[in-house]
Amino acid sequence: MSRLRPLLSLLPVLAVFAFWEGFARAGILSDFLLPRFSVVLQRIWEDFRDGLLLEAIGQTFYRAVAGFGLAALLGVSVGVAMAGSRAARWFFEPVVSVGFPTPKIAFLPIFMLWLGLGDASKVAIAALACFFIITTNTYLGAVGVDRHFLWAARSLGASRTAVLREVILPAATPQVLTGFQIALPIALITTLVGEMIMGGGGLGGLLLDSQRFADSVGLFAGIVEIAVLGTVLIRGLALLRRLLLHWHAEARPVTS
Amino acid sequence: MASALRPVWLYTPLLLLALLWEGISRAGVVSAYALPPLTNVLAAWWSLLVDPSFWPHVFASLGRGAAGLAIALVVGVVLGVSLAWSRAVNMLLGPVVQMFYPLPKSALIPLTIIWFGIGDESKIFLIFLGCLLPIATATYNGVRGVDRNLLWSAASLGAGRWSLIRDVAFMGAVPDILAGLRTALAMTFVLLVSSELLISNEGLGFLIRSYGDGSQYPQMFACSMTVMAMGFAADQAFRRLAAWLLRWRG
Amino acid sequence: MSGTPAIRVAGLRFEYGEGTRQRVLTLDGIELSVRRGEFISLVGPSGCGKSTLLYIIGGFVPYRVGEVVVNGARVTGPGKDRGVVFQQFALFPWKTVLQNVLYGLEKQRVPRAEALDRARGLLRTARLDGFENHYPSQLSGGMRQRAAIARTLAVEPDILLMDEPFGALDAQTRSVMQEQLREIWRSTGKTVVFVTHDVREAVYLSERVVLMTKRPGRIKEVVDTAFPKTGEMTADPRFHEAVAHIWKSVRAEFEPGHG
Repeated sequence: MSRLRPLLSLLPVLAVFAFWEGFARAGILSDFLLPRFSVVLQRIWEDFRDGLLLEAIGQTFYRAVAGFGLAALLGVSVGVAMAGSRAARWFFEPVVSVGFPTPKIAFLPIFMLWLGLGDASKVAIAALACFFIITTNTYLGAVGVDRHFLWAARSLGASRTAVLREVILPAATPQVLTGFQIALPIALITTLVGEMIMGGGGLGGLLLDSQRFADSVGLFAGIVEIAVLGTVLIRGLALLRRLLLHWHAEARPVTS
Repeated sequence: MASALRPVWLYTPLLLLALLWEGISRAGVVSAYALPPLTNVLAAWWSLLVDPSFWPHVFASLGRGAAGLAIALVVGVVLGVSLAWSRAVNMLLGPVVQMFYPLPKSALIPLTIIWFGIGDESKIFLIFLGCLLPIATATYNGVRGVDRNLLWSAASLGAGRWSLIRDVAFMGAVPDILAGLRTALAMTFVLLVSSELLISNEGLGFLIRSYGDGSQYPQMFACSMTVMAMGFAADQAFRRLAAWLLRWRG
Repeated sequence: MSGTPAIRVAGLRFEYGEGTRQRVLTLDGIELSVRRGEFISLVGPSGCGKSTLLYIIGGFVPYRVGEVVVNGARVTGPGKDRGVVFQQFALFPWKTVLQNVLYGLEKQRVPRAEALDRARGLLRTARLDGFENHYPSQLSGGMRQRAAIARTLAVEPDILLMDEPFGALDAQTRSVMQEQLREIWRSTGKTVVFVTHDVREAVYLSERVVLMTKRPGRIKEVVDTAFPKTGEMTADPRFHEAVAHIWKSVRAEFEPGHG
């Protein structure tokens, strides 16, 4: 029974694909508006065989993860600094409160102007889109650390950096990871838009080519491929969270 | 510090950034071509605001966003409540929602164009699709989290099935629905601007692209800032509205 | 009609999590009859199923084995003949006090003017006039529970089902509320089923105390406590005897090898 469970959870997925195939075959929509799933699957296989698919996935993955990683590095640093220093808080609080809710994607043409049409501008826009989310969550996580906990650590002789490394960062980890989990899909969304607008390959580039050549099979193949990439990234991060928090739960008392 | 000066002090960092922008552009640290001085951008902004041909683009963008978000709100709440309330709906649509959820919705931009062309319909449909799941899942979680005793109280006071759904399940989910709506609002702007940048003949995204293609960079910056200001204002207005709607939380 | 009991439970058996692998026998062989106008308390160790029994009578928890009859009709769901009061008040937090009390009246389609009259009258009795337009979050625990009781009384149920209604209140508020409940019971003649783990409260309020065993909950003993009472702090020896007896019996449930 327990060995069958993973297979059972695939059933709904298969049902959705079966419904797609059946609905497309029924001919209510034309093959152009909704190609059959079997045809789309065949295209995905061809793309894979030609090496096209892996190359595109690689490009999109690299850009999204690079932008996300850059934002994670900067965002966690700024968030921790805001929690620890009055000056940093004074400077970044208004910047973040304005930056957080504004649509960063409107910056894309400016980045294209500054950084050209290559990887740099795509990575930069993804990083900008993620930065404020990660900063805000890190800051909230770090200021949420129980005061008594900090006092206890200091009174036991921990230095400021030790408190940061051994108390604040671990205690803020759940909220930081929440920020990561919100930001990563945003990185992917933004990267795809960048690829669609600038070209330069990637899954977004493939998608745009399909649209230009009115190749609806290619379009649906691209959407399925992107959905798979999105699912893998989101699941991967959720797995990472479980691993990290499992380790933390044993290593420290939970404060949040 | 005098309390009248406090807001000024709070926003000094933004002022500093603005001065920095103006400074490095005027001093020629970067070319004025890549970064027009802020004052030039503000001048361009002003001339756009007084130009009657600018406003139709603003209204086109606003109308698309509002329409897509409104449809997503209605359908998303109905979907979320149904998923939480009815086992049959959950079995039927739950897997579809779960499969669709991790798809980065910008991937649907070319599809909506193939389906609906480059006009309003494709943008509205795209925004609808992008906002549907954040709202539906938030509603679902909210309804599932409603205190069982509230449902029992209402039932013993004579509430029927529809009253229970409307008066208790929905009302109890309102805080979650509003949280989902805030996410959806941000998503609306992202998808709106992305799709208008990509292919459109109207709207602020279209304007940004046209000014960029025409190398009119102060105007391009001004349009980008218009979009950001709109996004910021919409979020602020939404937060006020949410605080008022949730005033009972005390 | 006055001859039939308000509530009759016969041969009731209930398994929690029915149809799953982790079934727990919660109630077994429950036989109970409550007279019209009687006040009874259900007392027992935590997890003995006393709240479950209350909610089965309320019609919220479906049962399969046995019979639960209220006013001569088998219980198949909640009804306005049975009003419920919960430990955590269960007021609608998004409605004002007045809107909460009006809710049941609206569901009964009572005309607006009459409903307002009745609601305001109840709030005055509950000493909540002046707080009509407050939200529950703005009230103290005692005020919230008075509002919840007013909301329940508004639809004029014959039977009050109360699940540790004063469990979340501080000691002083609690004793004031006990007085008020006794007063409501005396003046309206309603049938009350009251769940509590406070033995003194049970003896003070009720005419009979029903003692339950720990899981699976069975009725262990029914103690008659229908002597006149002057207050929980009374010197009446019968009061203290009853409390001591019930305490001993409840404590026995915690001893190993029992039940």
